[in-house]
Amino acid sequence: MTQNNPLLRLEHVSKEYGNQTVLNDVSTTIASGDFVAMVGMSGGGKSTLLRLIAGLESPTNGQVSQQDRIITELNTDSRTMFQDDRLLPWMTVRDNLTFGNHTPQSIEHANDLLARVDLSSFAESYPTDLSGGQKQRVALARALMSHPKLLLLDEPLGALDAFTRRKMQDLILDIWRQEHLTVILVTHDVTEAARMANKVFVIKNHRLAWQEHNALNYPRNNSQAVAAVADDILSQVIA
Amino acid sequence: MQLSTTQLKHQTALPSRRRHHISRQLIPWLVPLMLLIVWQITAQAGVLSASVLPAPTTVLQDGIALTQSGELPRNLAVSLFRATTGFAIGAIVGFVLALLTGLSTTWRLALDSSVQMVRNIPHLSLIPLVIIWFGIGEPAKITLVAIGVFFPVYINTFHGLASVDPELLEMGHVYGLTRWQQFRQIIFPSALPTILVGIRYALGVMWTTLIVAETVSTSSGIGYMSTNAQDFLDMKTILLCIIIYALLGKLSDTMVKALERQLLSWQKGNVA
Amino acid sequence: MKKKHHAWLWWIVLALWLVVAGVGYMDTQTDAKTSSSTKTVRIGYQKGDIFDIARIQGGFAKRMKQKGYRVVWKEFQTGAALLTALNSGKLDYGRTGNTPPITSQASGSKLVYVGAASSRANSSGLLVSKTSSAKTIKDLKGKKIAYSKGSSSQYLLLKLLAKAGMSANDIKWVDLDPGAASTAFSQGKVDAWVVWDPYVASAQVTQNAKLIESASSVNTTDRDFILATSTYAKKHTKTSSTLLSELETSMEWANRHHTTLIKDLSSALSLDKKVVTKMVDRRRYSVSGMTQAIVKEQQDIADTLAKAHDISGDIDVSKAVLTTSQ
Repeated sequence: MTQNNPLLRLEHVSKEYGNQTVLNDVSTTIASGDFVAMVGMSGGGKSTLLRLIAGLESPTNGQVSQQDRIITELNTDSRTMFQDDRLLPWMTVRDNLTFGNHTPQSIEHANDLLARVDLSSFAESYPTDLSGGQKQRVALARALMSHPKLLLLDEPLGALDAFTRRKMQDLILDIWRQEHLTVILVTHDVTEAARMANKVFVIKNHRLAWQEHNALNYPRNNSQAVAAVADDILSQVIA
Repeated sequence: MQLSTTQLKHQTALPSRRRHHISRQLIPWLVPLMLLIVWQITAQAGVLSASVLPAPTTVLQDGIALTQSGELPRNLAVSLFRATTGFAIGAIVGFVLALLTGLSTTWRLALDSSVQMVRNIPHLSLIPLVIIWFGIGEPAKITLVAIGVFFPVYINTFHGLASVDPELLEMGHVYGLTRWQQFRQIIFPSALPTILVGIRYALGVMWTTLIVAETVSTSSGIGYMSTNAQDFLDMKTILLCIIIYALLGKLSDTMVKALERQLLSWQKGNVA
Repeated sequence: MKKKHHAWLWWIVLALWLVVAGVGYMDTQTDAKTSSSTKTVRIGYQKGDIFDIARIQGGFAKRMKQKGYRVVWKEFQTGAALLTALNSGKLDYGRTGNTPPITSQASGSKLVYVGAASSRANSSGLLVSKTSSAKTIKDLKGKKIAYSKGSSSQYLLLKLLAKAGMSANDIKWVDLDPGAASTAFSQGKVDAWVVWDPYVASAQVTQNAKLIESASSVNTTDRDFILATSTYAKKHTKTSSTLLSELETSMEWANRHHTTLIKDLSSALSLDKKVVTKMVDRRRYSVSGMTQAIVKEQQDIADTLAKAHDISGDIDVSKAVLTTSQ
């Protein structure tokens, strides 16, 4: 692993809202190409950590840096996918990717990505005609439009049914491996973390309580092995 | 007032099945048609004297006579000019002001509470002031219509801009949209349905204000025709004017609805 | 795709709309266009009044033009709007009945009497429907009588009551402007109606209504007056006298040419010829300057209204007159 030259470096990061501490002295590194799953109970601070990395908020103390650049404002080298799709309902699926920028290159790129998420035939449709899973696939394609180094996923699969969710997991894993992305996934589903991530962070009581490599080989089709890892993570979360 | 009827749904559910399609287009005309028939029958049977309620055919003959004499087309044209100019001025000022207050906190603090305060004044009570400031010519009438149109456009535009989903705005920020792109791609389209509701409402206000404006020193316009007819109990012309107003109101409303269908085709049910 | 098909249709409707509005714009410009090298006199009138007659007849504006004045006519639907315009200087001269100048003087406005028209005593009065059994106002005790507040009908009704020895509380006062009163009267919603011509003639002819009391029976004249703001009248005494003498010429013409006048008025007012004939035949048209006698008439109206608390406080009518003749 490239621990000596990490993509992201968090140093003594704290975040307070008034008197309330949300994150307390978090320090870690994330290597380029990692798939990190951040798990923990609700209100534990994992979403806040993701927002700090995205540059949507700044830490009260400490600093977040990406490739030696300290993140003080919007991290333009990252893209975030939210729990809800946040598609613009008045734009076609393709325009949601290009934001109405109709240069031939951006249209071609959008078409490629729609093909990648298997939605080519919906390019001209409006979001209202799509199912929940299809909308999240559009959101994923949109996140990839600017070739980001870092993909931040804020529980994007939380609202999907079990089958759709499983297919989405495989799609994200595929893209992660083919595009050489770095992914940070916030989830409260320990099985999802065990299935997808090669590195697991447990955030508990506003601290980074536990981090561990998940050495299972991809594709992780052995459900017993995955369940065992998930069990490990779960015991750390509730310990 | 219905200024806050932003929940008004825009043209929902056009059924795809064809046999429903035709009946859907016909049913709204059924009640007016029935009224017309009942009206004609009662008038012909002499239940009501012609001075109280002349028959629709009498009204139609009056309309034809007034058209041939050139009086009706001329008054119609003048009314349409006043309505359109007043509407354009009121709607543009209302829209621009709402853009300022809706998008800038400084402007909002400076202006919005004043506008909200003034909006509850019935604008027709301003007639004496308008006469003193703008005289009795066309500017006064156009100003009255503009004032009437201003408030629904301002209030709905402001409300539309202010109630944009903050999550979409955050998404736009995260995806690196410029301020102009944020406005063009997110804020404006999101406010558009509410703005169009304001415009539809403003068109109604436009006609009602115009009737009253046309009672202030004038010798032309549909409002003039009808008050003049009222003074001399000319029932058929009064009814003719009422019907013309109804038709003009329906026409302008239908035009905005067509515009809505064009601009809001992304809404479910609007997609052809 | 079917929707797209319709879109162009709406563009055509919109274009037509704008074209018609453009035609309307041209129309509103036609009377405002003429150049203003000559002195402009702006006159406010209401349908069928003495100015309207002078306007329809046409000679008035021509003769004024020869003397260097361009006449601009402004029609008003109500006396109140006319007075507002006059007070704010949007008009130079305006005509009203006998009561508006008094109420407006009482409220402190600076209008003055420029001239007075001849008596309308025979064509203003109290109307009842053809089926009514009332012979005099005494028979209307406790009944609803329509009038217009601030108009000559208010004073006339007070006078009629006084003559009959009745008090203001003996009847129910219903304040309606003539247009609305006309409807209410024809529907029997009010029992009687105090009004002036052409409403009286119209009700008499079309509904066979009975005029049971007229202004002449209480010795009032129900004149029209020509008003101006005092600042304007002081500066333009010559304009005022020209206006009055030319108006008088028009009135003389009107008295001599009843047939033409009736034809013109009935088409301008869209009134039945029979109604106009009745109205024209019972009146002699004339205008003059203010005289002591006319000032006294007006003072009596002011005193009556003050006593009935319809205006606040006493006023001196002579203060609103620049000069009196004879």
